[in-house]
Amino acid sequence: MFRKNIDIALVCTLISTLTAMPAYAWGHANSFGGHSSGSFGGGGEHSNRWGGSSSGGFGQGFSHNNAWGGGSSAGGGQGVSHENMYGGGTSAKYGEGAEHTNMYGGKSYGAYGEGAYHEGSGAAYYHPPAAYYPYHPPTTVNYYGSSCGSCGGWSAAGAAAVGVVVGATVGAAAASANSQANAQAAYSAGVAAGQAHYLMGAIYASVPAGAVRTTAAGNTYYLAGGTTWFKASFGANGVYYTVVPAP
Amino acid sequence: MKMRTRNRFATAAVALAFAMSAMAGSALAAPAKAKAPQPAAVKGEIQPKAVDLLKAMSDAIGHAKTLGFDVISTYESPSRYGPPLAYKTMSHVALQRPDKLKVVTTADGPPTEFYYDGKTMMSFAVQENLVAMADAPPTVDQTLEALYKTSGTYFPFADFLVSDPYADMAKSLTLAFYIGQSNVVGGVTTDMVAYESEGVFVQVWIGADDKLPRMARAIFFDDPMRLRHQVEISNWKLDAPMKPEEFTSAKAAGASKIPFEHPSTHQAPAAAHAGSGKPATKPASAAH
Repeated sequence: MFRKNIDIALVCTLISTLTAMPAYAWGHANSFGGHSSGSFGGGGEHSNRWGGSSSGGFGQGFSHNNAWGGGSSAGGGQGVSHENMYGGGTSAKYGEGAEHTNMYGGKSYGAYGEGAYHEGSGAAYYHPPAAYYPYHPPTTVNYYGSSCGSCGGWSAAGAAAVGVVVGATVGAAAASANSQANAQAAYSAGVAAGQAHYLMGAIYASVPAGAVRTTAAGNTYYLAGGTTWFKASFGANGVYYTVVPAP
Repeated sequence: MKMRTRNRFATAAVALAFAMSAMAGSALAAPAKAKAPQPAAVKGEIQPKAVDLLKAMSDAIGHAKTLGFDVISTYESPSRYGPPLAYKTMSHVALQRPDKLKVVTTADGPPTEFYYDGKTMMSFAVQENLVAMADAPPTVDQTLEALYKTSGTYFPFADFLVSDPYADMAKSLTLAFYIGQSNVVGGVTTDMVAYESEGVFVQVWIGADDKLPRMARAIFFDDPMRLRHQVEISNWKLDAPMKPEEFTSAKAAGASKIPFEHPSTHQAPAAAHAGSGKPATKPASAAH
């Protein structure tokens, strides 16, 4: 009888072990091996069982590594950088612009008061016999980009468009130990107060509000701020604007 | 004997429990790190049944003198954080072989209209009232290519517009197999076929009776994120009468002129800031 009870207990243990497994994959990870430590006025440290870790010191910088290969780092009042597992990276400094490199080798730039520029999404070639080719760049991404600072596309630095001034708090923002938040902070760092300026030769999804439309040599241009000229072109299923010398 | 059986059972159960615990432990302690997908070396079978279905689809749309359909395209694009977001556009398409095409995209995104009447192609940005116009080649097939080369514009349903879709696939078909039937897509029974051509892996749902494509999904092998591109086609109209004036637009022709220009022809921003006179600010480099 006693052995029978042992057998039943073993089977129950086995069943509970097996049935509990799927739940391990999701939240509540800290109870499965992660730990945190810190003291008032001192730094903080966190590591989780997946291999990720975070550390920071009061008034100092902050760094985060995650188990997937990405990492973020920042210094108080300084810039922040982030690399993700897909090979993309983001970096920024207070008062400067933000730069993002994606896994395709494309880059995006943006600064407060500006739009965003994106170069090279890759896979842009005509392939007559083949079936499908990615849009380059997707017009719809830019369409949503006006309201979605995290969507990517031409408006990859869309945070700049909303004008949030967060540069001085980048370090604090980075201390969230959330790599995604850090990436956002990187972009937001590019939003720090600065003068609106557009890069010669860069392309933008829209022209600044108040830009005046004019025609020169049979083409359509927009003049913004009295000094910056945009040439409108049709490409990749939509209109885009290139900063050009005065026509 | 009973005791032996119990002992064996208990021993086996303990061993299995330890084994499973060890497996679970190792899996949890060292989860597989995500790796960038590697391009697949595709060299597979080409099943006659799959080829027959692709040919039948090609004949159904290639032999029609006029085509009309609605299409919802879904494509993925990486968010700032890496994982992709899905975006959708909706277009209404009219085609008359061999030299007339209209694609009116109403949503999402800024509405655009494309017209080709055999001589001129024009892309019209409705909201901006801007139009790009250019002389066009004499066929739809050539115009689609010219449009892409001059502006980067590509319609993801282009395979269903060309005069002989299967001929295009067959040039570099390396894989084709039959999957089975579905009763979900387009409200009809469809045959599902997967094929690979020119580095693109495509799954297509073909109407079992009319052989018309109802849905297709495509993935590029050289895309490390394996982003998906999908079209859902509905409201098919074959050989319906169409008027020449459908393939042009006086409103579009009267809009302010802009050039067709491929965005990738632009170079990286120059060092100087236009309008500010300040030197360019070099973005901080990544610390990692």
